[in-house]
Amino acid sequence: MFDLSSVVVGLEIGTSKICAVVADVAVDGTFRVLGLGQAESKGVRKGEIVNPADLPELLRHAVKEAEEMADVEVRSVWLGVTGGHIQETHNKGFHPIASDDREITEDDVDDVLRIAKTLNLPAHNHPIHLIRQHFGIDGQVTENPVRMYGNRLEADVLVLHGNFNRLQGAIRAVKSLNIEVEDVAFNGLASQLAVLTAEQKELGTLLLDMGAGTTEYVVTEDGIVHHAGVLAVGGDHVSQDLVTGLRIPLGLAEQLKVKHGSASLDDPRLGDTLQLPSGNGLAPRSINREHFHRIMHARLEETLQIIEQKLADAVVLSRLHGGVVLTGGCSQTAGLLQLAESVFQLPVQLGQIRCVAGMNESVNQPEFATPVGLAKFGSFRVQRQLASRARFNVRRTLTQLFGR
Amino acid sequence: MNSPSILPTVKVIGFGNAGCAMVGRVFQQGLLSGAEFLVLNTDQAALASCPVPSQLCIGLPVTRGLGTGGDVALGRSAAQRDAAVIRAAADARLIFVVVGLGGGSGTGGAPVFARLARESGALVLAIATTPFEFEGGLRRANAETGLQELRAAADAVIVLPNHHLARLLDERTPVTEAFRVVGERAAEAVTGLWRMLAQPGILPVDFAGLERLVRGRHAESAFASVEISGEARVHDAVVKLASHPCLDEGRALARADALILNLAGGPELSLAEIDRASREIGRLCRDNVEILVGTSVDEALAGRLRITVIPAWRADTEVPALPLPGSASSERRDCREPVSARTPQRSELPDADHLQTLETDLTQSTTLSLPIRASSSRRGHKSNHQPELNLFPASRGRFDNTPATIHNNENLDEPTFRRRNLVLN
Repeated sequence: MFDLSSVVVGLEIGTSKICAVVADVAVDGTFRVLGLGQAESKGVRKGEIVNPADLPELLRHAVKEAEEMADVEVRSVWLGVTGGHIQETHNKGFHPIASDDREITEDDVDDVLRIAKTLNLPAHNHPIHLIRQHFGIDGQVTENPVRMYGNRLEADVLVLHGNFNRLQGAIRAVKSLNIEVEDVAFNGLASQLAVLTAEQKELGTLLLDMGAGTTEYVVTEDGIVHHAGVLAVGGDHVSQDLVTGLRIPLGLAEQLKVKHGSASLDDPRLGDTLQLPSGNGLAPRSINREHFHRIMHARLEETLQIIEQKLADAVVLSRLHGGVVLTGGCSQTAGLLQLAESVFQLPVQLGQIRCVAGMNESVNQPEFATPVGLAKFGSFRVQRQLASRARFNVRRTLTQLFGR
Repeated sequence: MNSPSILPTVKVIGFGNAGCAMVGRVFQQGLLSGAEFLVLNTDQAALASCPVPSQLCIGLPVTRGLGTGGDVALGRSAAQRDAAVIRAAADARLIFVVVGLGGGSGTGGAPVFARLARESGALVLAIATTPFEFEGGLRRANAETGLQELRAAADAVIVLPNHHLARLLDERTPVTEAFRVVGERAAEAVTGLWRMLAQPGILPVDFAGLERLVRGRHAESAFASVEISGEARVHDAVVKLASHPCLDEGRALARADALILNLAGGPELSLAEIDRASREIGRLCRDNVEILVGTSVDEALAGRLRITVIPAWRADTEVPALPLPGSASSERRDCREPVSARTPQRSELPDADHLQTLETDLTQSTTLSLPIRASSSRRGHKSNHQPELNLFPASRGRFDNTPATIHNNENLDEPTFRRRNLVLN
């Protein structure tokens, strides 16, 4: 009689792969992954579509695979967006409390949030997320101001915004397949939903999602996202550096990186040489392992350092007791944990995808954090709709019973 | 050990922070008896910490004694404002101008000083260090333009590129140590030249000879000195010189069109050794090279042989490899090469032209007020414009058709190891 679960689909058009995750969410919030579909990505660089020619085919393939595995039909998706154009802005709103007794009402809270959300974004920029930080009453920070007393209510919001046209690229590509886009979400926020536990969010944690094209960072403290952003440097840069430094083709560079790559400079094998497979008419060659590691180390260290510098102005990093959590395909590089520990001076761990019932084994790979998180992002809203629908259904049943 | 009668009046001038430090070092060594020392700077605090007693703080009205903060134009105008004082200070036959290029005071001021000193009849030898690569693009570009101006203004410039030095040093050398070595090398160049000129020797290099070699040539030089003892000391020393990083692994010798060679040894130094050294070094050079050989005997060097070479080549035949030749140098090369290829006399002409324009530039900027100076610098900018030779492949690999990722004025799409100058050999 009541359909108390619903399907949500998260779709990520990443630089290295396109990935769709089908999950179902129950009215009590149970989140279960039903299916997963992937396709190798083409024409995507640094998280943004540069050549949409091959995309529809690949998107269709990924979605079809997920549909078949989950045995559902995908009509709409929650789409992930990223790219170097995405920026964060902090904004503050003020609202005087006009009522005689100075008691703060729900309306006052709505007003102050509305004021905080009106901000001067650069032309062509479109807000993606508005994240409430905290309220203040006459300068005192508070979580929930309703029914408290004061003269002036303040609200802080974090606005993530990006270039409208560049955001549209991904949306158009999906819509061309006759699939609806429910909403877009920033990839970093999605990964954080999939990977961080409630405790980590409370303690204060920096999440780094190191993908092929971009590296997203999200700082969560007291359960709230305080900072988020993206650096358009990722695993592709490592490969490209190897291409230039070792003079090898890109495909080979990627193979080497995955098979032998390491960010560590105190590896006992540093003196060795690596034999390159000969083929395609190339003469057999060997490369110096030390150069190989040095090139990777320089790039990865620099990437982490840039993020550390970006955050150091805004966050007291040593206060993040939850440490650093790494996820994304690039996070599997050997020696990266130690490198990140030395750059951030914080404990570092690899993220596990949390709170997923069903298909745990196959989904629990760092590169699926974003699509799982996107489905999760969607599930919150779907769950609210389900809950209100359930309430409505119960009421209708009761009126039917008693109205008879 | 030397009598002042051999030498005309000699002044050693330190310009800017680095120059002051280097001259301070030479002064403290106390080897140059008979020379006068003078340091000039825009920064009073830096002057106060310099051991040289005669000091001049220039450009007080423009810098308030606080230095230029790396602004070359400010350094230049500081020196120009005090032109009268500088002219009065430049009353010697031979002036060594010691300067660390890359900053504001030295880079802007030293060329002005060299020009004024040369106008008053002195032979000006500039000893300039260029910045390390890690000091950044701006300082390197400053140094490059400063070097161009210095070449046009001084009789001869001995360039001591610090990045050559970086190859000599161990990776773990602390930075203070690196700068100390830089200072020592510049000091060595000054004292080495001095020793050649002042020490009584079997075959002294005299001032007239040096003057003939460098005067009017706008020569450019390198400097290297090795000290070796043992049986086959001449051979060892020559082998060491041939691979000396300060001489570009011997390439500087190969392209030199004049060479000053000084051998110093203990009382046992024999004529055969001198003969062999000059012949073996001559073999490393071109056929028609002009070699000025000097030898001296020093009791302190008993058992050891010190060979100092200063290969000089005309600045316009080849520009030495600074890490990144700025637009100014490429322009210079472009306009010179066809001329110098024909006749050496003709090659002198553009130099004079260059000097002329430089001088008019300078006089304009001294006499006119700020907005006009801006216009003259704009003119300079226009003349510097030159289409760049694209040395990197046009394709950016995987990042074709993508907006570049720029962070702190660095293009992050460029490989990190290249931007950090990691050596992969």
